[in-house]
Amino acid sequence: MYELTIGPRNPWTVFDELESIQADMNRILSGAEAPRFARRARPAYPPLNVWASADGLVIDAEMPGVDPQDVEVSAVGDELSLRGKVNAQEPAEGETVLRRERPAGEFQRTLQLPFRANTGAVKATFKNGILRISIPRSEEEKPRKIAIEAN
Amino acid sequence: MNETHPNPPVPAPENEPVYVPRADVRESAEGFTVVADMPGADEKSVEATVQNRVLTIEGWTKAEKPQGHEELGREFGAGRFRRDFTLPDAVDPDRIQARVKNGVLTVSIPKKDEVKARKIQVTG
Repeated sequence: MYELTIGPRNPWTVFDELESIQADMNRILSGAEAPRFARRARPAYPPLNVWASADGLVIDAEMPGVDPQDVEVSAVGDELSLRGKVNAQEPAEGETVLRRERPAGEFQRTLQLPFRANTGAVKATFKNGILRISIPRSEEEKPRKIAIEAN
Repeated sequence: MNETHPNPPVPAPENEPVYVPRADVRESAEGFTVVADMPGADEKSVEATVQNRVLTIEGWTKAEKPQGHEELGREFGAGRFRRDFTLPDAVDPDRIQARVKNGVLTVSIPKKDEVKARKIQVTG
């Protein structure tokens, strides 16, 4: 059995922001069941996959065709922002557009992180249209083992 | 250029999902250009084939889960991309070119020379 997804996978929306990931992170942190992404009619751009470890988060953003130079990733406190443009170039002169399904335009997406980030150590790499961002927790927020002193 | 209904996809390995990639199609005097999003695919995992006037584009991606991490949420998946396009008669299948960059496949399909619009010199 395989699943066949018909039609555009990610209908384009310009200002469609932070919802389900935020809710899911909160739910995970409050110890509730594993998150389940609701199929929304208008998902935000770019679509994200999120993983967590004790040290922080890894986020993959699916943005095929985006020039890495056109993307700005910024982390401030416990907020991560992605903004940029995708497929912004006009068709060449003398070209007729017969079909247009791929997203085009400017985008911005902001995520509330479940911790304060060590902003100096946030890393982003771009490979084959997928941006991977790793966000370590700030040192102060890492769990520490407290040594018990004998008296 | 017409799009055929996707054939029943070839069973993908490990029950991976099959996606129909989003695509743009443009036409110029020289030919057609098909641009398809295949995020995560590279030149080793993308194929474009032409058979009986049908252009088939295919690509594979693998989920790259970071080690030692637990999944929190997923808005896009990995698997196989596949889509067919029926080409008009007037193209030259031998000169089709394809390239992949940043997870986007671009296929250039030149028109046959005899159907290209030509300006006729009018003499007096």
